[in-house]
Amino acid sequence: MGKTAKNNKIQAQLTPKTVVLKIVKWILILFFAFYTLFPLIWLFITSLKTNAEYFDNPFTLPAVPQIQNYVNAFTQANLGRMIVNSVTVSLAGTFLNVMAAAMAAYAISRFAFKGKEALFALISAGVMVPLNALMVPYFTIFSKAGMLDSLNSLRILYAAIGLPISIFIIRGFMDSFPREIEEAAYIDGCGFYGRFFRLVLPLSKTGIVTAATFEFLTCWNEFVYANLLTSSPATKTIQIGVRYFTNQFTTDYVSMYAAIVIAIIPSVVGYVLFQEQIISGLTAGAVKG
Amino acid sequence: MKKKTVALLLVAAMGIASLAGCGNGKGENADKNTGGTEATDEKDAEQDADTDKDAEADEDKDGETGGGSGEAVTLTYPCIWVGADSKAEVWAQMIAGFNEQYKGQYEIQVEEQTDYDAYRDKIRTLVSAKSTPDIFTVDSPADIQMFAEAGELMDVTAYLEEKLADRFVASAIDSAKIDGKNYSVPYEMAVVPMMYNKKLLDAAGVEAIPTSYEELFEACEKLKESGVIPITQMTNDNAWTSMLWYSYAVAACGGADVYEKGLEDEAFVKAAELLRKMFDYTSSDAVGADASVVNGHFFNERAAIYTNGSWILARIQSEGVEGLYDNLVVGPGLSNEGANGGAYLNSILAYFVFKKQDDPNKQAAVEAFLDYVTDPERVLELSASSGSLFAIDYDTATISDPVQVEIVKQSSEAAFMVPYFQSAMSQKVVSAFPSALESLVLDEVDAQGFVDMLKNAE
Amino acid sequence: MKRTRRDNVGILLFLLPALLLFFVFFVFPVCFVGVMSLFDWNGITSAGFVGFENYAKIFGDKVFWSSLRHNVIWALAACCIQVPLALLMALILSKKPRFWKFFRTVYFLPQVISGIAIATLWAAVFNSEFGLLNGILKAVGMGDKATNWLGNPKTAFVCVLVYGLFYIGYYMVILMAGISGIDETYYEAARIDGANAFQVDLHITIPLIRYSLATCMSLAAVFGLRTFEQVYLLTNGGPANRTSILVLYLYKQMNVNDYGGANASSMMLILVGAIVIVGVRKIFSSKDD
Repeated sequence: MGKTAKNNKIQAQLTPKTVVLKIVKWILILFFAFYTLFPLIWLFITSLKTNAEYFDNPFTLPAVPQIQNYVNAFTQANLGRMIVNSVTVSLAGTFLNVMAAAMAAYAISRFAFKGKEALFALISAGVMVPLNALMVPYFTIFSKAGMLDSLNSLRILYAAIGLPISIFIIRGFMDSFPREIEEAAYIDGCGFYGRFFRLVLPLSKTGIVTAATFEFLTCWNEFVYANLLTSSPATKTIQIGVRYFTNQFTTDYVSMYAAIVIAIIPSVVGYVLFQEQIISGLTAGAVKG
Repeated sequence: MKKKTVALLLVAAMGIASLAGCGNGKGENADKNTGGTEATDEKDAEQDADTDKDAEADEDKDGETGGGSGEAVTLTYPCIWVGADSKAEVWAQMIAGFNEQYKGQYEIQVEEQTDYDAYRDKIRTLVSAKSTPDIFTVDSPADIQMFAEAGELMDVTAYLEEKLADRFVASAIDSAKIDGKNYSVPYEMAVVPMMYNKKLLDAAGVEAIPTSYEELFEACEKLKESGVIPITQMTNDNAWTSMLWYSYAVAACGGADVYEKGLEDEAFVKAAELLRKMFDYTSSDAVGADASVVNGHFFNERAAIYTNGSWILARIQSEGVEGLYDNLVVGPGLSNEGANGGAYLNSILAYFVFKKQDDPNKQAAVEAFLDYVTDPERVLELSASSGSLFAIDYDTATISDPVQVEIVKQSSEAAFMVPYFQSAMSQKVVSAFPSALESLVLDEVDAQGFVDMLKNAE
Repeated sequence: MKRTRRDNVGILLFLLPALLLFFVFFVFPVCFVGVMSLFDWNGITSAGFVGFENYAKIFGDKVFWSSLRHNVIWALAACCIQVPLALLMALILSKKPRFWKFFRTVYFLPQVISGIAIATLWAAVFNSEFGLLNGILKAVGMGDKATNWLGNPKTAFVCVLVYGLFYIGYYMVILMAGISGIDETYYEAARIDGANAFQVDLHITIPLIRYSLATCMSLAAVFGLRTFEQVYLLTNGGPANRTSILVLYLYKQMNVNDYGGANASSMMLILVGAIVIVGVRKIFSSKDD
């Protein structure tokens, strides 16, 4: 808070140069805002059209807003149940993932041990594994474990497939704070676990929340394994609902877009809440540091 | 197993959390720790709830295999005819009707599958892992052969021949045989007419629908002058409608038995020349266009000539501009150099296949299902409601939709029937088709080069 | 700070959950993929051992090499354009201009929307018959530049690649989290020295977030190498394989039941990724010392 207020003060004198910079800055900000809002606005408008209007021209406004598309999406695809499933799967998957990743990142980042960089490289290479090529092994694992058609299989799988990225991100943050902080805590009598929970974890909160955000979205948007590992309606997730309107030869585009809009809402809300967390965590962490 | 591991992990995390206290200062952090533990507890509770649910599911499964003793025999069926599919509504009624009729005896458990790529991946994985569903549909004879070789499919030859033989259209059952045995039952059939927008033809001064490629290109010239897109073509995904155009051209150049002669036959080269020429009369976005683009052009009267399976009729009615359906004229294949006109494309679009069963009860349930869904009355209802056609010999006289009636009539009077390229060729050739076509259209290869690309894919 | 035995136990215990998940869901399946890459396997029936024939086959395929080239270009473009843009915007938004929270959320939204919606939109923008891009060109009197953007071999790859480069939210979030963790005292010192905002960014902020930057660069490189959805949904590799990329290449192998070949491609993908990850880390860690 304080720091940027002061930064602003540095900029505050109005010279021709700062005015130009200010204009450039706002052009950039607004360009990116427009560029990223464009798909969202288009999506929303399109979700209110009829399929005929959509086929006629994807860039026109609907003659009459088709609220019906949303009703279709919600009732036919049974989105309510799916959202609940996706929320529990994503939260549990994210929690497991970030817990495991933070613990591993702590061990890797703050301690030296044999083969540590090799281990980290191995885990990082996991980012490259084309998960779609692993359908047979993954299905076999869950089949042997008797966990097919259960949301737990998705929770565990999602926690696992996001590990490389989460460890990667969290380690990046843990690497960045100086060793002296830990030394001080060590002298104060904090052991291995104490330093993790009382010091490293709060300090890397921003990194962890960042990783959690990405992991949550991975869980929320995953489709291939959600479809492969579940079969009963009780275990379907939101992405299956989004594709409810795409069939072999027919796609009901407008209902699909309505379903997509509905599916975005919880994740946007979640994202905003997560990001608020970062800010509050930030001030706490900064004071301590 | 895995569930225990997770529980262990959580317990470990909690245990560690409790070790975490330091020598000094508790206040703020103590709060945080309890917060964390609460979250963990919730998760545990949730996990327990799920475990209970799983246990129930397991009991159900045990019940199934027991069979006979009062419990209904359940068959699993990942079904693609759901959601936006035009057959969805009537098909759901049929399944419900079956479950009602055989209440307490057999039960079909439908699992809705929409995205077709994901469905196909799922089926392949399930079969590979020996978890084959009891009932499912497949579109590719190559897949059926593969699944049968893996020993996963039920041999239904005897039942078909004894009980249902006369329900199917001529030769449908025989042509689905692998080494003289039926591991599959032909069901939905793609019948592909050429479709013309009469209004646009009239406006361009084209008096009659073309019967030969020469006439087609004349008509295209006139249409182009009148400012509309003459023919729709596409190359994205599986290049579906252009693949159909190529199939018609191959039939016109090589006749009914062209696929038996194989890619060596010069008909494939000549047909490629025709297809290349058609791309001179298509939309500017044809290279890279997918089915939605092509449909969009025809549905909105931007394009005059189009081809697709009869199932598209329902969508032309609901999504086409007003009056389009009334202006729709269908026709058979064209002749080339005065030969092989009047063909009709048809292929089986969906074969029913069944898991090989040890339990005679399940086998009986499958047979009851087959008997039920091939009933001509029911198939008629399914057909009339969706525009789809079937390999079942049902009374088409009662279909009321004029276009659908015309397609049925024309295909029954067709000079010859020929499958389309995608169902007649190996998967590797089919999958090489779109990019070979793009090379042809971009003039990177000539017609011979196009066929060579297909051959090399083998 | 002395390492105790308790520390060693702790390290092991902390690595355990991640390692367990990693071995079950990465090491084991990848071993399976590696072994099966030596077989002629259709994914279903039993396989015949063919040694390195599958590898020989993909090495002899032009499309494999052009796919690899496309992936490398993709990774470079992400590192050299997308991440710097993200850094620029992260620096700007970190100074908390008006509505910065709103913009930060907005920039991230494309990550939240499912890829289907964004890809269909851009396909419509690039379409030559009713597309927005040609419409704009015609409106400003540059109609002669209008083309079938995704079907023209000269423009297809650039179009597929470029539109995504301006969605910077993912990296911006990581970098902003990094910036927010910087200790206030650094800025105070700079202020006393009379440095302007630009100098502060260049000499203080950027060096201090080098770990976050390294994370972004590695992720951008890796995501470039494993990109799939954008191409699959827009061009499916066309026209005439001009936009083909590795994951799509192996996906097409799976589609024709060439699972042996697909597994060989998977192994190559993982190998290339591992090399790149280690390489990027080397570059950034050498700057460290």
